[in-house]
Amino acid sequence: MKTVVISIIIAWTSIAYAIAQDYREASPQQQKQMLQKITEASSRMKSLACDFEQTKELSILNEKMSSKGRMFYRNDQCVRWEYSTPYAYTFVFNNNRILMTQADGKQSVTDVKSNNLFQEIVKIMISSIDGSGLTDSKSFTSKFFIAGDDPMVTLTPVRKDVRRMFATIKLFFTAKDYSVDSVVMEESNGDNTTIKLTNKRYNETINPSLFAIN
Amino acid sequence: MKRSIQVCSLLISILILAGCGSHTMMGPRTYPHLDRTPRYRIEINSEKGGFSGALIIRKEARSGWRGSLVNEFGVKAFDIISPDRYTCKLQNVMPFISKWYIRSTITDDFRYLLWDGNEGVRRSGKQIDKLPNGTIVLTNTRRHIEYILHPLPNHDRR
Repeated sequence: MKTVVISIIIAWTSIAYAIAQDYREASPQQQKQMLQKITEASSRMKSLACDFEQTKELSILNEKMSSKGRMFYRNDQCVRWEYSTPYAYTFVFNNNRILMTQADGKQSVTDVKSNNLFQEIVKIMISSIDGSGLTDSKSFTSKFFIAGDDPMVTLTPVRKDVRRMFATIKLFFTAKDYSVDSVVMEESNGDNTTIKLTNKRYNETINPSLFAIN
Repeated sequence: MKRSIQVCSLLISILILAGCGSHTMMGPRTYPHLDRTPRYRIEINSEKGGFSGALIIRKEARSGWRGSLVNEFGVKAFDIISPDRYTCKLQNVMPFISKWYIRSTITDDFRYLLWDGNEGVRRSGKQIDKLPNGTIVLTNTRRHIEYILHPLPNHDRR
C-alpha cells in the first residue's frame, strides 16, 4: 500500500513537472533573439484584422463567460474592438479618444487622458497586438519564456494601481510569424481573462470609417 | 396557574406552527423580478458617470446570492456576496470605484434588488420595474442612479 502511494506521488510530481516544462524561462540570448523577431514582425505590421474569442473565468462563481467579435488595428495606434456575442458593443480608440457604442446604439466619447482605467486598458490592448509593451519599461516589466520555438512574454504592470487590477498579462506568440496568438490577463483577485486571436489578416486596407470618432 | 401555562403553551405552539406553515407556503425567498437566468447586460447610469458590462449572479441554497460585475473587457468591477437579506457586501472592488460612499450605495441598492424589492413598489427611495422584454430597472430616486439589467442568453453553462 505504501509503495502504491509513493508511486502515485512520484507519477503525479513527474506529470506536474512535465507540464511546467512546457514554458521555461528564456536565456538572455534567446530573449534577445525573441525580442528582435517580435519587434521586426511588429514593424512589418501596418494593419491587422482578426476574430477574437474572449473567455472570462469568474473565481467566485466557478463559471466562465465567453464573448466573441472582431478586432481591427492600424499601426498609427487605432484600434477597434467589436463584440458581437453575447451582446453588441464597440470600443474604438483613435487619437487619444475613445468611442463606446452600446447594444442599443447609445454612444459616448471619452478622452483617454481623463480616465486612468481606459488609459491602461488601451495600453494593454495595443501592447497585446503589436508587442510594444515588451519595450515599454515605464509601464511594464517583462519576462521571456519559450516552449519549443514559441515565445511567451509576461508583462507585469509597473504602476501599483494597475497591478491591483492586473497582476500579469501573458502574451503567447507563435513562432510562425511572431504575432500574438492569445493573451491571458491574470487579475489580482484570482480571475483570468483569455483572448484568442484567430483568422488574422495582415496589412489589408481597413476602411477608415471603422476608426472614426465624430 | 396551570391554565395560564396551558394557554401560553398553546399560543407558542400556534406561533411555531404558523411560522413553519408560512415558510412552507412561501418557499425560498426568490423574487420574481430576478430570473433564474443569472446573466445580464447591465448599465449603471448616474449624474456623475456610468458603467456598462455584464452581471453574472446566482442564488445558491446555502450561501445566498453570489455574483460578479465585469465590464465588456472582462475587467471586474466587484464581486457581490449576500448570504441573507440583512447582509450584502462587495469584494475585490475595482480600485477606481472603491470609495466608501460608492460602495455603501451600491451595496444597499443591490441588497434591495436581491431581497427586498417588489415590482412597481417604491420603498426606501428605490423602485424596481420589469419591462415586457424581461429588462429589470432599479431606480434609486434619492441618489439618482439607475441600474438597467437586460437578460442575456447563457451559452456558457457548465
